[in-house]
Amino acid sequence: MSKILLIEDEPWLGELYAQLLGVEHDVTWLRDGYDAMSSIEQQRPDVIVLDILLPWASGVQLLHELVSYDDTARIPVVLFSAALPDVSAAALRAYGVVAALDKTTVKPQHVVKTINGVLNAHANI
Amino acid sequence: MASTLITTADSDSYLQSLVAAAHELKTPLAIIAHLASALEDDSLATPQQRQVSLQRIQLSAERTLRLIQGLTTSYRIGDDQLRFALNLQPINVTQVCEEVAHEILPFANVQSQSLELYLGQRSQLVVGDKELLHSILFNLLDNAFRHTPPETTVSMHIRRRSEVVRVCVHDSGPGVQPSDMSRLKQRLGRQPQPIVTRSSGSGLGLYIAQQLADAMGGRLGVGTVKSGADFHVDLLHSRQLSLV
Repeated sequence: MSKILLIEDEPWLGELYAQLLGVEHDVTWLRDGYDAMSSIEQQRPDVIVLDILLPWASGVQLLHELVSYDDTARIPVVLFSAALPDVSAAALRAYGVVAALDKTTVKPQHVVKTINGVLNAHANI
Repeated sequence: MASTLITTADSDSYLQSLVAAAHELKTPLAIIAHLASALEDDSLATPQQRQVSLQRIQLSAERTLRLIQGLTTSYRIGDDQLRFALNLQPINVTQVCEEVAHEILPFANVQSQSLELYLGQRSQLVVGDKELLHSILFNLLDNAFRHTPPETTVSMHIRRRSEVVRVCVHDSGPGVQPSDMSRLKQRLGRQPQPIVTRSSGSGLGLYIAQQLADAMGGRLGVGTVKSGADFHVDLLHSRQLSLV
């Protein structure tokens, strides 16, 4: 069972994806970026699913912090946002972002499939 | 009608408002889309999960429609040619608070949140438009419940100081960071913009509330409380019916 850290401030979406991903994985859901780094250091998630607009610390701030440390820089990140940053894929990859899902168009099945794909790909590394 | 809207509004300001509004309406619409898709493909395992999702779809749709209605009203108020007819009269603000509290309960119940009312022993009367006041208070409570964790409490207070009646809504959410407070105060009253210090989707409802408060000669404000945020509206006390 893989460990997923879901950081989503919208409670009804957070609860939905905690349920959907929780069928196969161990999901920790945080509603803001405030406790995210301490949670990441304690739990060492296999993947981080990250919204961009968050209370206290934005997803972009968290990405900056993640890449600042060797161990957390290796954790794959899936962006899941209605406001995806307007930057290149290469720039996102440098921040450990392996997939970016647009909340306004993506379907739940595709979200789950993408995250499972990321977990499988990194399990084989 | 569309051409009338474009020609009567300042185009830059209008487009900025439109983009900001569209951005903020994404969130409740995305919730509807994701929950509906999960229902459609049988991703939700239990009947209870499905029932809760259906209820949340309905509430998200209602929230979206209220935002659109509020945006339309605030636009009509700001446009002289549309001549929005304000119905200013003495209003029992205590009664309006109780009505709005009743309407917001389904939004609170779905996350096991509760609302406490501290409305005072005597009804307070203000000068205003009842429909607009209703919309302002609903937006303030909706904003509070969106930022308050499950199983916590939002409170609503009425306080009178001299000729001003203040209705405050306190939440138990992450609050507004001191460094962002002045920025938030500046933004209240300008174009609707996402207020990212709390989360996406919080700016439009507050913008609408501020526009409606302005139209009635009131004022929307923000402050801090020990744990959470305080949003309030100041309204002019009405003496006219206090003898009734």
